Amino acid sequence: MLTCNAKLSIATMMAFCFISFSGQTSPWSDRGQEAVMQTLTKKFEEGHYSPKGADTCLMCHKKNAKVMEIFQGVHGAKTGKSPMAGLQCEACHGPLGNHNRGGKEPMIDFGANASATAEAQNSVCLSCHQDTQRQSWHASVHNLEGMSCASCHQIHTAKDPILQPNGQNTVCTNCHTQQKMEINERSSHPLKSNEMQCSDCHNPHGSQTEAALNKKTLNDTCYSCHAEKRGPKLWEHAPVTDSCDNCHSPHGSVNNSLLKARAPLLCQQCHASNVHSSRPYGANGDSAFTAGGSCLNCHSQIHGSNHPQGKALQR
Amino acid sequence: MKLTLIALAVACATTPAMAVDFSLSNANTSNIKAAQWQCKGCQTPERLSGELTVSVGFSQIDDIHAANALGQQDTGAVTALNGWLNINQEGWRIASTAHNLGMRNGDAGLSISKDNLKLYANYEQRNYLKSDKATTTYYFGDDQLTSGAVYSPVLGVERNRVTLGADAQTEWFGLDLSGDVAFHSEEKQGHKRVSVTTRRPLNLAQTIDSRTDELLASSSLSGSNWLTTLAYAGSFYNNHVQEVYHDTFGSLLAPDPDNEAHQVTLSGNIRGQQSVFDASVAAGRIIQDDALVNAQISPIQNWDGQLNTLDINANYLLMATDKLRLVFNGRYNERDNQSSRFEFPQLDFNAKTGLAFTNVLLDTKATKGSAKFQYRLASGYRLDAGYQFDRNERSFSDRETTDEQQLWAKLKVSQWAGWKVELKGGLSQRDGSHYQANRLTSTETNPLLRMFYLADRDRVETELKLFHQPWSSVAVTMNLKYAKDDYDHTKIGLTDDQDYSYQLGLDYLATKHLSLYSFVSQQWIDANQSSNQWQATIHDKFVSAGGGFEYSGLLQNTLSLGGDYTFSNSRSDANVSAVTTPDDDDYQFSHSLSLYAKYRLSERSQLGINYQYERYYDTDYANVAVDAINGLLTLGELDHNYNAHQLMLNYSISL
Repeated sequence: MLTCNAKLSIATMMAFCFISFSGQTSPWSDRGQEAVMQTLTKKFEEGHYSPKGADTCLMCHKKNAKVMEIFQGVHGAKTGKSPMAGLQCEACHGPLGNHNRGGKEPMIDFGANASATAEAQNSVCLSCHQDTQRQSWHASVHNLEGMSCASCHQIHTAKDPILQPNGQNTVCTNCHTQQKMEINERSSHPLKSNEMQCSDCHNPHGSQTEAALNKKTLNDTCYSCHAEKRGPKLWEHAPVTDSCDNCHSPHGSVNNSLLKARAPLLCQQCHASNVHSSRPYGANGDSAFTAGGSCLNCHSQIHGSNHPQGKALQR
Repeated sequence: MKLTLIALAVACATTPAMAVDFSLSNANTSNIKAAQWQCKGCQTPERLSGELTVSVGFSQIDDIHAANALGQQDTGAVTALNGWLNINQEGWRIASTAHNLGMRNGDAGLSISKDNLKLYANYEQRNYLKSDKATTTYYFGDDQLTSGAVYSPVLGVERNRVTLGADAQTEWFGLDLSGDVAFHSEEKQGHKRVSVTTRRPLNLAQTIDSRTDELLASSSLSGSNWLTTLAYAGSFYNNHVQEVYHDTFGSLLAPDPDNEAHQVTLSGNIRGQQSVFDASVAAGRIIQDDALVNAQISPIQNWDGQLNTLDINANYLLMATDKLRLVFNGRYNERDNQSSRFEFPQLDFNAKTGLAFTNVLLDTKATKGSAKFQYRLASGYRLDAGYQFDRNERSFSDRETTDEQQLWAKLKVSQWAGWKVELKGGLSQRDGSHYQANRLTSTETNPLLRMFYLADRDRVETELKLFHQPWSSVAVTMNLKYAKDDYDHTKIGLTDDQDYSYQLGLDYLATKHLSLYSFVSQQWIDANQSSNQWQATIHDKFVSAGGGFEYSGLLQNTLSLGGDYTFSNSRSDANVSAVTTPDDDDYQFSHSLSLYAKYRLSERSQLGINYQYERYYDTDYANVAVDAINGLLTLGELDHNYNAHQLMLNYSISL
């Protein structure tokens, strides 16, 4: 089930929403963000890097297992475009300056509880990770809400939990609680079993579409897995071509098949005025109008028909 | 005008820097003595690293629906392989993963990378099983629907998906050039419920057998403050299922036709420190020219179905001052149906209506624009507000144009220690062109009817989010949401609905070794609708609650215990005024319990035990016995009511 990792759930909840989880604070954390940012900006401009790169940093920090874990992941590789192949620790944390003289001069730190602003943190990450997937980051909801990359991602690790099959949905639903509720409803996409990830449909780094969808439209997103609905079909059903969410709730529903209401009442929200469609189905108990597929017993091609005689979506 | 605005946005996006920017390209590296940077303390990744878990267990299952939670559909032994393995050698990095391999919902991945080149392959198996209790006497053989002995096809779908891909980066005239290509192939097999009309409706379990291939390729070129990408996406759907044909009743059901979709997208961004502009233009074509069934009474053998699509999107972010951000967004989506039109004779059981119709080509255009501002009132206080305009144009529709305008505002307060509060409210109104209820469908509709997705609608919505951390080890979250839709000009159809919900969560780090969480959420959706003879109300209710713990401090930190529990209950009650006896039950509930223990045998090995329990019940008044309704043959009673257990022993070894 989705809530299978209490530790991850709690850690991400604390990290997203609050100030301090572990009680660990930086020596400069009581100075206020504005003062820290002034110092960081000045240091960055002056560019007083350490004399020996990472070796200078590791003189103090090598006993910290979390620090050393960077070398198990791609950011610790000493080849290619990895930060460790360039300015090493200071590629991300900024120039050392006087930080090694007592450790009270701030460095660029990362995470939801960091002293550096999210914008400043993200400028470091985006200087390498500027690609098509992140081209709309600046206008994304996550950026406008002040989330840093490190709010979701871990760098000092061999495997980033959010990139693992069992980790992503737990992280996302810590803030998106409405969706966490809906994926437990009677019908839903298989998100609680982690067989689908939130990122199968949404781009968490932002996109130019509504709800940061991966495709250009909602229907295109649905066709990624439901290509049989794409058509075009000879006889189309207008609300289907209009938008899948006219009838379906994508995150979950108390009705079967993610439907917003069940047939016949859902159908009667558009077809309820002539004798055939508006009769009070069920007046005499179960009937062919309520049992089985209800309206779909006859109009089974509700997503469109490709039958020459399929105008009524029956064939 | 559009070009002027885009030019203005591009010009503003390249204005001089103002915001904080610690990007590597701006670093002042003039003082670095790189020769002394030897990184002696840096560790070389282990040549071989990873963790493998082999699981052996037993499941007690009497309903295949349990496979959706447990990954196994029958009672018996089960084995699974989970883990990851990395190999690092001479700059090459080989990474492999396995997840629930051996179970019905497993996947595996392999990637090989060096410097700026990466090759990867993935395999996924996904199952969604509905029921094995369906009963029918109808078989599909040689494209003919025939009747025989009773059998029980399994309703559900199995997906097997293979992905192959590669991406690479290099430098080209001082610019970053990257490219990637990916190929996905997915096979779907199983059975689904369909229905055909042979004077009386007949529910069938039709075979699912299809394949979708997808090819994605893109190439990006980027400079210090810009990026542009040219991408192609192609998707090819092949359905191996034939029509449903009956000797007496003829062609009863056409299959979903083969189709293919192609889309070319040009996108990019320009980044200043003060503003960023990004946009994309995508042109697409969807083609479907499958042979028509029952072509002997059709004017054509193959229908040329073709849709041309055009999608244009743009975002512009302006950081006007340290306190003020503005975001503008524009979208245009066009669906141009260029398919052929013919007059097709129809089979109509009601001889009063016409018997020949021409297919209708539905075109749609959607134009959207929005403006949002975000203003920091003071430290810890932020005000957001926005306006959005949507216009949708639909050809051959009862209403050809709908316009929707939305206004919203949000106040976010994080000033008080341990508290975060967000209050959001919004109003929207939809109207549009004259509603012509009986213009195209005069035989069916009433002038008073308003289809809900076209009707005038007033919407009010509000949301409150609270985060509270009374102590460093405790976090409480609460979200409240209310929305009301009023279709005030609708006499027949959906007239109004309300949706209100809350979610409450508590996370507690009791000790260094013990963490606990719990949550509860509820939702109510109430809707009213009318016909010309009756009124109906729908009351949907949902509740979900659960909790979990993890304790890792036992037996000198060698034993960890954990558990999770979730309860959910969905219910939908409908009442129609003209019906004296309400509909039967329509609800579902489930209890999901998972308990586990992990015991560390040594530095590199671990023994574990997992127990999972599923209690699931659902009922639906539409599920009736095969011939319970005169004039209808169903697939039988498909409700679920089961207990399922799974016990797994795990042995893990770290490499």
